[in-house]
Amino acid sequence: MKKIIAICGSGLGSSFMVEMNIKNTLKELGVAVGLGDMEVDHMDLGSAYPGVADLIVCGKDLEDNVERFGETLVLNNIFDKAELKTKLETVLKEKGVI
Amino acid sequence: MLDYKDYYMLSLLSHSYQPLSVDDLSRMVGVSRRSIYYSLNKINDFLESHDIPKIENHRDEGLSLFDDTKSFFKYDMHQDLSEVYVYTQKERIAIEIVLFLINQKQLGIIDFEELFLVSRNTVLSDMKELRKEIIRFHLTLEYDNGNGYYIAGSPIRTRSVLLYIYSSYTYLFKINRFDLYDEELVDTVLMKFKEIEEALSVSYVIETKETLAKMLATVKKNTLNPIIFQEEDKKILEESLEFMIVKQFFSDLFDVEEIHYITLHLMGLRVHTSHELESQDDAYIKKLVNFMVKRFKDLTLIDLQDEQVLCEGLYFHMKSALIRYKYGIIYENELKEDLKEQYKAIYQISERIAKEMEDMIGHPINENDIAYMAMHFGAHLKRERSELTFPKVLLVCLNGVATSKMLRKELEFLLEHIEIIDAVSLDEVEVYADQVDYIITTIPLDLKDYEQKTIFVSPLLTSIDRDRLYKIFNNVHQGMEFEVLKKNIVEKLEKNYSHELAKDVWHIIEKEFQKKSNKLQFVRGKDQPMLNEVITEDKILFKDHVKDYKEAIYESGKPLLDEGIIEERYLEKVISNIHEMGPYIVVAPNIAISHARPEDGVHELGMSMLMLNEAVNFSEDKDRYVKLVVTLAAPDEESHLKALGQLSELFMNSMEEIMNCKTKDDVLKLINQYSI
Repeated sequence: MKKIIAICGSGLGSSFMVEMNIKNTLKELGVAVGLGDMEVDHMDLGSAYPGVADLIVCGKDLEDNVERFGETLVLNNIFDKAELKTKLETVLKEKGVI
Repeated sequence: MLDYKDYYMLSLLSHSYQPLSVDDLSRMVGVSRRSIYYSLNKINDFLESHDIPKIENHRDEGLSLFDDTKSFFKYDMHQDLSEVYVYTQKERIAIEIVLFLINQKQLGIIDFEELFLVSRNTVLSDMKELRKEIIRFHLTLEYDNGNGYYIAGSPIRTRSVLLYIYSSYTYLFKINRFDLYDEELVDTVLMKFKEIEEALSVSYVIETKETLAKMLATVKKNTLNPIIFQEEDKKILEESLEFMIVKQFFSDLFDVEEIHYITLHLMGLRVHTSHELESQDDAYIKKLVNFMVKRFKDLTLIDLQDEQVLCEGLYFHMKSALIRYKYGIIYENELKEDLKEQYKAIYQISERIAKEMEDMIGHPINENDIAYMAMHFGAHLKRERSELTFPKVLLVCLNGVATSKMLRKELEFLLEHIEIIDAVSLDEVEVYADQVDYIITTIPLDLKDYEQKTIFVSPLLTSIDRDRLYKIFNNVHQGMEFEVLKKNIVEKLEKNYSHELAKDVWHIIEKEFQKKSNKLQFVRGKDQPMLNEVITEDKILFKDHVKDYKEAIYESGKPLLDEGIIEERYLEKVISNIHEMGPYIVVAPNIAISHARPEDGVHELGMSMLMLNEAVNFSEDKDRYVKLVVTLAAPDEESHLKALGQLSELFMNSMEEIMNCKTKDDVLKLINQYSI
């Protein structure tokens, strides 16, 4: 697993916030972020395509639109660090990253 | 969006009783024929979308408007240009500089707010940019407590900058909207020029005459300080052919200092045939020429064979050019538009060198002169039969539109030396693939033939992508050598010293190299305001309840709409997005971030905030209740990121506090806390 992408409708607002949170959470979980390690980025729905990342993170109302691009992690509250951490930890463990 | 030129062109057409040719319009608007055609298409699209008959093009006669169309525009166009038209920052700054320079009265922020109908912050940002712009020409923006701003500097600098703006932004000053000069005097001066042309049996380029006439009328009306010439310069001027004639025709209108000034300009117009007006400072000219040639070599990575020939050509050019720069003498280059088109790459490089030279000499260099520089470089390369071409690049994305537009902007910023041919969708790739050197794509391509030249990137470039692209395009020449050098050093260190030392050195080199490519990203991150600079007191609203989410979106965006930061269609777009994609802007329970994309009608950065006492549902079938609606207007991909990051921190750590805020002060306190 190499790449996580946060997606929102416009690629300007919430996806950027989520990207920041993912990066922080990864650091807390001891996963290296950046060049050659785990890449984290954000984009808008229109730019996404199947296989864009190993994991796509989005808010709950975009789930139906995003699922077709790959494995999706859905957040009820994008500002809830605890929610993100729990869900991300589960996925990363499943994939054997941590 | 129609721009000033388009509106001006429309107003000319609607006031004209006869058809106007493209040449007429190009002359009257003061832009190239190509931009007239370009405007024409834009205007017709605009007319079509408003169900108004389009501009007619009669062969041999020219362009005209139907009466219906005329009456539609005649009513409001001329006077209301100011209200309809939103000036770009560049245009505003040009106008602001002119208004300062003519110094009718000292101007305050409020004057510009009213003139351009923009916010205080916008004017403040203009002043910041303006300061930077004029300091290069040794002028300074001063502030006189209580009276406002004014520009200080010597008459030579003042006039050369004024003339530069008049000639570069011709279209902005065609309508005497700012009352800069008496139109009658302009006509009188033009008539006199005509008589001078007859007396000297020469003919001057019409645009030059018009600009000069406007300049002289401006000088007169605003009693600008005269330039006092040094004795030896005066002597040269007075001995010239032009002086007697100018004196004869203009003595009734202008003092002797202005007669000198006019003479200087008229002499300048035939400067390539006269050697009277030339800089004598050989050492300085040589220094400049060496600088130009060196920068040209740096920027193009071309090893010039016969450098001496090029230097000589530039030397003679600069000898007369220096005087022109100093006094802002206009020097028409009729090939300018062609040069720009044909030698695009060389012109761009010349432009960049000219900018750097402006900083050295402290005078503006106008497009005509840049075109001459490009001619020298271009001709020389031709002589050497070496061709300067940028690698041609094709962009590919899923639908060929939105993503690639962003990507294009980003690539053009990141890589100076590429030429992007087109942005296409997957189906069209093969049409172009043979003609380009590289294909940059955001979707995996399965084209074996072009594997070698395909570069796969993410739609929003990641740091890895940037790094790779930067290496491919900017370091093609040095890249390989660098890698070899690095390897050799490390191997030697390892052999003679220790493995550890070699490893450390390796890291240092890597880091330094990383810094070099990161520098580009820093430039991109400039000017990101903080949260409390964006959400100010007037951007916070409280309301008991709204009838539905649409009202919530409108109410929340109202402060931005009122200030002209966004257009109404921006809010409409937010609503239609919700229709299409669901209430995805509800990013957390109780919180919605109402936003669309920059191209949906955003003029500048802004955020506003609506707090509701009673929650409103953003969905028809699900529970998506919201009490706090933030409208976010982002003019590009970058400028809002700092403020948004801070807002995000606020929501993450102080959700309860923000939801319990009862007054603007409460909210502002929280905002300030996170604006660090």
